[in-house]
Amino acid sequence: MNVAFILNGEKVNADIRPATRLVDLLRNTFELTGTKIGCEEGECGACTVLVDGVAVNSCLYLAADVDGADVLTIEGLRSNGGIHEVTRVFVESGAVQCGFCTPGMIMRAYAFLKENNNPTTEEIKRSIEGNICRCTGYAKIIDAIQNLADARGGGGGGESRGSSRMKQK
Amino acid sequence: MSQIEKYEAPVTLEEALRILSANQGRVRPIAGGTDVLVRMKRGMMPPNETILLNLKKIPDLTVIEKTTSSDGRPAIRIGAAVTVRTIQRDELIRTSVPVLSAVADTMASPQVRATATIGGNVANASPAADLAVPLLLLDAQVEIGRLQNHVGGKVVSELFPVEEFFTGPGETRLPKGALITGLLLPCPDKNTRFVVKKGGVRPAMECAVVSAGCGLTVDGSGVVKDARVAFGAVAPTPVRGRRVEDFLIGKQLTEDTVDGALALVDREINPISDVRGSREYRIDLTKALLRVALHENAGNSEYVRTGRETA
Repeated sequence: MNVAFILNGEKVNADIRPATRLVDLLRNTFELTGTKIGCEEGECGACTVLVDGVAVNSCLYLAADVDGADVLTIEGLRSNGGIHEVTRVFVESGAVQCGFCTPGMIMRAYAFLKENNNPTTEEIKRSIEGNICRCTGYAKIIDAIQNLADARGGGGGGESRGSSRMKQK
Repeated sequence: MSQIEKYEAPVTLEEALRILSANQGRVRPIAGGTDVLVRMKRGMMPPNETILLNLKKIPDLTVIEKTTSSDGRPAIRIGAAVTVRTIQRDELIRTSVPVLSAVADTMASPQVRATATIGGNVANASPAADLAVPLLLLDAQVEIGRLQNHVGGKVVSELFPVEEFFTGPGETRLPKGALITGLLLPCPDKNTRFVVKKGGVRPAMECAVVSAGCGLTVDGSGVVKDARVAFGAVAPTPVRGRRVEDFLIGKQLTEDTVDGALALVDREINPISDVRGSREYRIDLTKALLRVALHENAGNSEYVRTGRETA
């Protein structure tokens, strides 16, 4: 069967099997390997992509179900072709170590901040409850999201967590 | 995954039921996929199931509407394919049956909630199914659709009380060839308060080790006029605690009353020991969570918590 959809801003289509998973369509057919496979059971969030603006686990999403949808992966999160501000703040806040959880974290953070531009620390922690990180201990990931919210003018809603909190100007 | 040969996405309930009846035993209905795709990955699909039947395109299964229950009370009908994320956010659900939205907040993760459905949670029938506890507290009914003669004829609808729908771990009364089409929730009156506590080791991404919930209607002098109590993950199915309910009615919610209620819990539940906890731990945790739930329901401030309970 064939699916036609928008992928990172472009109209695409692909032949798939009935039970092809979205994560495999993205990684194997479109060679977009930024989206990672971690647990294949919807527990780790490494496979997080946006479908119609909503963060989902692509390991639990049928490729058949993106027909007519708008899909965004980490490769598509760019700013005028360059690094996106969410990615930049992750890097600059020290929120990236091995990088394996990072695409999923960034996609989730991007979707979250679109809905909540002035989050509390507690809301940020809850927002990434579906994304596991084995390296960072989460502190700098939380700081990164807070830093971006602050920089966008959301105000200093969260408590300081350490040296990676950027000082307000 | 390669056992699947066909994918169907009907746009009417009738079409879906005809596909089911024409391919008996070979169809796996799928909505959010957060249980089905895990089973596929684990190689746990019945080997005859070669057809995936996507239910998400059937409009009637994604509707949320005001209606009346079979005894004439105002009620909410939630289509089976309504997602947990929608249940968290929908204004009608949040105002009419807020306990359902509150429990939806405690489920899995944002990504899973975005696709998981209430129909799937009920159909999967885990003894720990999170939404089962509020559905029990609300005396909800499961609405199923099937073909009149089971293999042909027009589409007919049947209602099952939630309490009678679950028959064992992973097992329900869903007739062969039928689909869960919706949940019917009578709206509680404004004087009834509900509190559900989910117990476990982490605040997210967890199957409940124990869930305990209560709905209490208390009169002006603090006497319990009506009580609903329900438990999850401590029996082969989610259960109501009828002995506890009967005990609470007519009493004020003092420490002695709560102690008396907890003493009856042993006869209401029958937990197993498994990787998430021993039987003894689960019995203790059920009592602890019910104590907190009852006190929080009564507004006893020292017991009121924000956020989720963790063991």
